[in-house]
Amino acid sequence: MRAGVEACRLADTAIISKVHPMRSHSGAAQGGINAAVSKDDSWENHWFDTVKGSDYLGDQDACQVLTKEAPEVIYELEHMGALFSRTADGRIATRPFGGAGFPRTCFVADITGHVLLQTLYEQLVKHDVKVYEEFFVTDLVIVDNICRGVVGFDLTSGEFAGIGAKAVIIATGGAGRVFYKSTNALISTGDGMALAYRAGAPLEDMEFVQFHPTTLASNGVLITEGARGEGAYLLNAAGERFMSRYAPNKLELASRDVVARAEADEIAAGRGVNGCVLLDLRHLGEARINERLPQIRELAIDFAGIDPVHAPIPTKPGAHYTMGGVRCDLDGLTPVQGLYAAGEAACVSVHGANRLGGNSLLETVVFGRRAGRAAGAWARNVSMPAFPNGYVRRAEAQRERMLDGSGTERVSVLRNEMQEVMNSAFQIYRTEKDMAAGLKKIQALRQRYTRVRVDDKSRIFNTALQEAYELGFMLDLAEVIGTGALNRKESRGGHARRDYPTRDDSNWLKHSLYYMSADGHPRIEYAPVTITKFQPAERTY
Amino acid sequence: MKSVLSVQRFIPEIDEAPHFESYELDLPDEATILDGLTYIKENIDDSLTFRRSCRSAICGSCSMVVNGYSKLTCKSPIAVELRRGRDEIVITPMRTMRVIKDLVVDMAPYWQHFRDVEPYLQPDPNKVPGKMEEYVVLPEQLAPSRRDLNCIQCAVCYSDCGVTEVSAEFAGPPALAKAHRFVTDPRDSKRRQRLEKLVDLGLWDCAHAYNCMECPKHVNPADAIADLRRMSIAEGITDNLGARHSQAFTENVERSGRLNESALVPETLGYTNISALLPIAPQGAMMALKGKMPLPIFHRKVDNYDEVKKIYAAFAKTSEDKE
Repeated sequence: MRAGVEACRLADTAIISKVHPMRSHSGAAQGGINAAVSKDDSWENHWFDTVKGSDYLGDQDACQVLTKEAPEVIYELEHMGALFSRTADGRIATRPFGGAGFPRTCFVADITGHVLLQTLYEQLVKHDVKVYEEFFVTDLVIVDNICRGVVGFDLTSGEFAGIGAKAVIIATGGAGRVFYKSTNALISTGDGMALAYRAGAPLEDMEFVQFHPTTLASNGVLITEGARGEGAYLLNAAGERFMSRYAPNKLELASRDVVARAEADEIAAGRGVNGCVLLDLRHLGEARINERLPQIRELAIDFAGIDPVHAPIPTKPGAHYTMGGVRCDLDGLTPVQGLYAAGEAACVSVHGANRLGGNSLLETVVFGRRAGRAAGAWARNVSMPAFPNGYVRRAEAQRERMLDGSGTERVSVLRNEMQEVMNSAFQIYRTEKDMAAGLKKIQALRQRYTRVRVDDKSRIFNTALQEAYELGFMLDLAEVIGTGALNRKESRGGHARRDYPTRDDSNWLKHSLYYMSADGHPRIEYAPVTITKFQPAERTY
Repeated sequence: MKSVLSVQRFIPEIDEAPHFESYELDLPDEATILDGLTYIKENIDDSLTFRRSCRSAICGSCSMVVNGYSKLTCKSPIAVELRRGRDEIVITPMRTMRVIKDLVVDMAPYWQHFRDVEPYLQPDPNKVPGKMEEYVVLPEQLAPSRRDLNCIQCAVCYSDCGVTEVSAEFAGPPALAKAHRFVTDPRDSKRRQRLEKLVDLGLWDCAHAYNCMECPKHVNPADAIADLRRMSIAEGITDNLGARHSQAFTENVERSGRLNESALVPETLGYTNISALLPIAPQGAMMALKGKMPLPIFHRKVDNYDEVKKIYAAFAKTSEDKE
């Protein structure tokens, strides 16, 4: 939506979304958005924290753009209408967050993403941007390395259409649903990444998946890092603040990969509580919890039966964020002419091997704005590329095949198996043996997917069909994640291997690129990391 | 935990009319209604159609009517419904909107109401701060809109609102809560214009059923509506039936300590407003004949009328403080 608001000033713009824009998963972001807005802070500090957090895999020119433009985009959002929480003298307040050397996370209580989503949707209404709501894209049309638009179907009518465009921006979010009990919404199925990959654009660094340290055991729902930012403790079964042994300086506010691994170690050593550690907010007091973390309190009561005012919340690490995505430059431009990407779907790369909390919302607005501007300018200067014949008919024929009743494999069965494989083989800690076996299973699931079955034969609002398409996307991405994780023989950020426990800069300080080859499997290439200021150093918190 | 979900089904290409199908489930104790529906879709019948996404009450997709009340199904445990002592949990689509398929409704009218209230900040262009600074907004100035920001546009209140059901013109509780969010925003410059427009969009049409106070996100639009009404009168936007009725009611009770019902209608419409009074005169006469309307001349003050005066004085002081 940030890209749409920008592009609509320059060119005829429409947003295509499989859900109503207000249902987007950005609304679930809780804790905040980073920007060095305090006069005692500087964007250079934010830059360094981001590079260090990325375990030096983030491109430093991209991290520079992210952090330098951060204050400006915060003020811009505020001028648009976002009501950030304030200090006593009426300025935008900030809270501490993980891996940050300064409290620089701006927030709206614990509904920051929800309020920013509202603000941007309000701007879409204000600028009267056309939205194709509940329109499901099945194909990205790229011919001769030029993007020409998309093909998809309107969920309500079931009718297919081709939508030609001079420029397409992929802003479809992450692929967290590849994993079981992810924090991600059920719509986070990585559609845009898979569409680009199938159409010939490369994906980058897909092996890096962030596991968030505090998710509810029952259903994987997120408990914000802002809870620890406000001062909550992590305790093991003995009541010990165990982070003092893993990150003696930053404790609970070390970067997420460090905290998630520490929790996994504690649980594995038998110091967990029913497979969880405890997130203790009690000492913050009821008034502070109600002011700063009201949604968290309600989520804990509703989904864990625990009131954090009176008892600690059992939490554990859960799949949360896709650091990788569609490879693109600082303006969101992919190697395909007219094709752009922004947000979690993209890999600029600002997060490298591990994203800092509070940098994901920031990425969506900084690079959404840049991609919107670049795509709008591009569209002004080129004529409409020809939309090739046959794409819509082919897509319709594929749907008919999925509905004709000849399939044997149920979507829910394949999806559950995929999620179980990903959770067991590509978890926080990874080993060669597990991953090789896991990848084989994923490839077998992709084979079985060719015989997928959808029982709902109707055309109108066929969500069973939609889930079948989404499963196809996720299986492609699962194979890329698996292939990449098995290939990268080192430990860096969110990718931790038991058999290669240390970072290996001499061989692996490089990005992985994934192209879909003619046989349908990923082909790996590499690209150098852009290092401008900060030489890779050992990372401690 | 065993339960039976009775779900309204309607696939327009197959069914002539909606019908119910029952599903017997045995799910973990903490399962929600949404978990139940998901189980059915994954294991029994993939054609069962409903919207859902976040599973944690922030995306607003999964609203439905459960045993007669609109709810976010992701935060409605099956166990709670079972404790109400029903054999079956009856799940139907939201009300007031057209059913597209099974539990999916067409929300286009809902979003049109949302657009009608101009749901975006409209600052005074001369007062926008520089590119690298924010508006100064004190924490207490954030308080009036804090609850409005929680709204996830789930339409639960819209579905349960009796006025929305009978009037397509009424903006409805969520759009009015959205409007309240901007009317109370110290950065917005269109406060008066917004309030004037809201009168046209049905600000005074709310009939105080308070169904919207059962809000899954505690937005409680009825409070926002009451606050908007109070502000519109304070702004002097009183040339409309709603405001006049409210004022007439207040003054009417102030005179005697209890409502002089017979006088209320002419006081609202205006004693000289013959064209409005004439059409309802026969109804008034019939009511008088049946003893349903005491003659205004026999109205007398309540005992302890001084107490009423004191209450009015206290209220006057509170509203002064508020302004």
